[in-house]
Amino acid sequence: MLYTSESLETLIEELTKFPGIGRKTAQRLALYILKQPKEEVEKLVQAIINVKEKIKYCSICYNITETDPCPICSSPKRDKTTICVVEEPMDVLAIEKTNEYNGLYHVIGGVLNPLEGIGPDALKIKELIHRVSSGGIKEVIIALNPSVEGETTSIYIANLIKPFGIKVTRIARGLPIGTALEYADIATIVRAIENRTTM
Amino acid sequence: MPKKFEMVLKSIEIKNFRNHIHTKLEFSENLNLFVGGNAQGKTSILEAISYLCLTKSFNANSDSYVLNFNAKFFEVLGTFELDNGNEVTVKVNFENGQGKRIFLNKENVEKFAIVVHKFPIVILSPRSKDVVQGTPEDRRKFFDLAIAQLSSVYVDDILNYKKVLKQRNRILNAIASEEVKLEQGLDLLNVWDEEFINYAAKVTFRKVKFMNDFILFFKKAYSNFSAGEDAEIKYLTQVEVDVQDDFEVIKNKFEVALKKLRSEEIRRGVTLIGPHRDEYVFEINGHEVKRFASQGQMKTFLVALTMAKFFYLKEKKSETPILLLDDAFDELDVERAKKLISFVGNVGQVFITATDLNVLSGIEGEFKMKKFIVKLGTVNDA
Ligand SMILES: Nc1ncnc2c1ncn2[C@@H]1O[C@H](COP(=O)(O)OP(=O)(O)O)[C@@H](O)[C@H]1O
Ligand SMILES: [Mg+2]
Ligand SMILES: [Zn+2]
Repeated sequence: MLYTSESLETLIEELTKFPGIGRKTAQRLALYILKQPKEEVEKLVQAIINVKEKIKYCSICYNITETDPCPICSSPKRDKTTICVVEEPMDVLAIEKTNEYNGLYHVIGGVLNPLEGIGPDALKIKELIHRVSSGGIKEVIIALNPSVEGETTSIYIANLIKPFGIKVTRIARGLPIGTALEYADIATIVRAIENRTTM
Repeated sequence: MPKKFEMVLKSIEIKNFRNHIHTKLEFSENLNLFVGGNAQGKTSILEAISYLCLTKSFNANSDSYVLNFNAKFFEVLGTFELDNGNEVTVKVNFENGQGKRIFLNKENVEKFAIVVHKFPIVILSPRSKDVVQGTPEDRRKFFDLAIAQLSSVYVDDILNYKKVLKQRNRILNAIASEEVKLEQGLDLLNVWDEEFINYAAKVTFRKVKFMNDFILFFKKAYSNFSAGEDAEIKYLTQVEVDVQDDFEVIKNKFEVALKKLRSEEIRRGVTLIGPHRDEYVFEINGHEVKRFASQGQMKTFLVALTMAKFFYLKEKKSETPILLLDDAFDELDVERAKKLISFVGNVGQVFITATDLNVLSGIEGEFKMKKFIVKLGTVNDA
C-alpha cells in the first residue's frame, strides 16, 4: 500500500525498524497514532525521549539506571565483596524480586554466540575483569541462563577470574534447561542461588 | 482371544487434516485395518495418529502440509487408555500463523518431548526403507528417535549437542579464515570444547548403552524371519568407546581425540569428530546390507528392525507401543507383513492400511479386528 502522505509513510518506515514489527503492524500502529489526540501523542514522544535522555548504563555494573552509579552500586547496605554476573537488566530485576541477594551485579549484555558474531569484545567482560582485579571482591556468582551459549560464557568468564584467586560459583541448574532467568519463579531462583556450586 | 492390552488408542477425532474434514473413529484394542483405493485418505489417518504420539507426521516435514487446503486450522484429538486404566486425552491443534499447540488432558504442553516419551509408537511406512537403503543420516535419525522415545532428556542433549557443534564450527571457521586473532580464537575454542565434549560424551554414552541392549532384540527378531543368517548392527563411533566406559571415560576419550585433531580441524575449519558423524553399519553374514543384500534380505532387515523396536520399547517402557503399518503389504510382501502382525498383534494395538479387504486372511481369526472402508476422506465400518 502506498500512502499519499509522505509523513505517514516516514512514520511507518520508522516503526518497521522495531523488533518483531512488520509492515502491516507498523501501518496499524501509525494509523492508531494518527487517530490519537495531540496530547496523547506528545506524552508518547516525551516518554521515548525520556528513556533516551534519562536512562543510562551504570558505569560500574552496566545495569540501566537514571543515576550513575546506580542505586545498587552506591547503596551502603549492599555487600560489596560479591558480584553476581547476569546477561541483561531484566535478570537483575528477577533476582532483586527475590529479596534474597544482597551483593552487587555485573550486566554483561548477552552471551558468547559465534554464529551471531558476538565475541568477548561485544560483552562487558573486560569491564568485569577490571572490577575483579581492583580488589575487595571475594566471590563472583555467575548467573547466566542455562543455554549452551550461557554455559560456555560461564566457563569463559570463570577461566578469566580464577587466576585472581577469587571464588567463582555458578547458580545451580535448578532452572530447567532453556528457562530464562527472567521467566523463572522466585522460589526457583532462590534455590538456584542457595545451591550454587564452585566452578 | 488376547487379553486387554496395555496402552490403547480408543478413539480419534480429526478435523481439517489432509482430505479428512471431520472424521471420528472408535478403534479395536487389537487390530485396525483401513481399506480403500489410492489417495482416499488411509495414510492420512495413520499420520493423524502419529501426531498424537510423535507430535508430527512421519511423512510431512511441515505441519502446514497436512492442513487441509481450504482450512485455517487442523485438530487431532485422541483418547488413550493407559496400562493403569487411566484415560488420557491428547489434542494437537495447528493454526496458520499461530503454530502448533499440544494439550495433555486439556493442559498445554510446552515440551513436546514429554508427549513423545509418554506415548510410544513404532511406524513402518514406505519411507522406512531409507533406514536400510538410505544415508547414514537416515540411520542416525531412526536410532535417535528410538532413544528419544525412551528418554526425554536425550532430546535436549541432542539439540544442545547440535547447537554447540554449530557454534564450534563457526569458531573453527573464523580461525581458519583468520577472521579472529589466533590467540583469541584458541581461547574461545577451548571453552566451546568443554561444552562440546560434555554433550558429545552424553549423546555417545546413551547411544552405546542403547545399542548394547537393542542388538539382542534385533537378533532375536531377525531369526524369526530368517533363521540361519547372522544379522548384525555395528555402531561405529569416531572415538573408540566400550560398553563398560562410564561418562567420564568417554569424555576423556573425546578430549584426547580433539587434541590430536586440533591442527587439522583448524586447517579445515570444521569439527571432525562427534556423534553427528557416527555410522550404523548393517550386515548379513558379514556383508554390508546396503551393498550386497538382495531385495528380500533388505525387507527382512527392515521388518526385524521394526519388530525389535516394538519389543524393545515394550520392555523398557511402562506402556506398550502402538504399531502403524502403512502399505506394509507392498513394502514387506504379504508373508513378512502377516508374520509381523501375528507377533505384534498378540500383545499390542496395530493400525494397518491396505488396498485389499481380505489381506489378513489366514490369521484373521486370531485377533479382535475392526475394518474400516476409507473413501474420499470419509470412513465407514466395513
Ligand atoms: N493438505 C491437504 N489438503 C487436502 N487434501 C490433501 C492434502 N494433502 C493431501 N491431500 C489429498 O488427500 C488424499 C490423502 O491421501 P492419503 O491419505 O495419502 O491416501 P491413501 O493412503 O488412501 O492413498 C489425497 O487425495 C491427497 O491428494
Ligand atoms: Mg497411503
Ligand atoms: Zn551499578
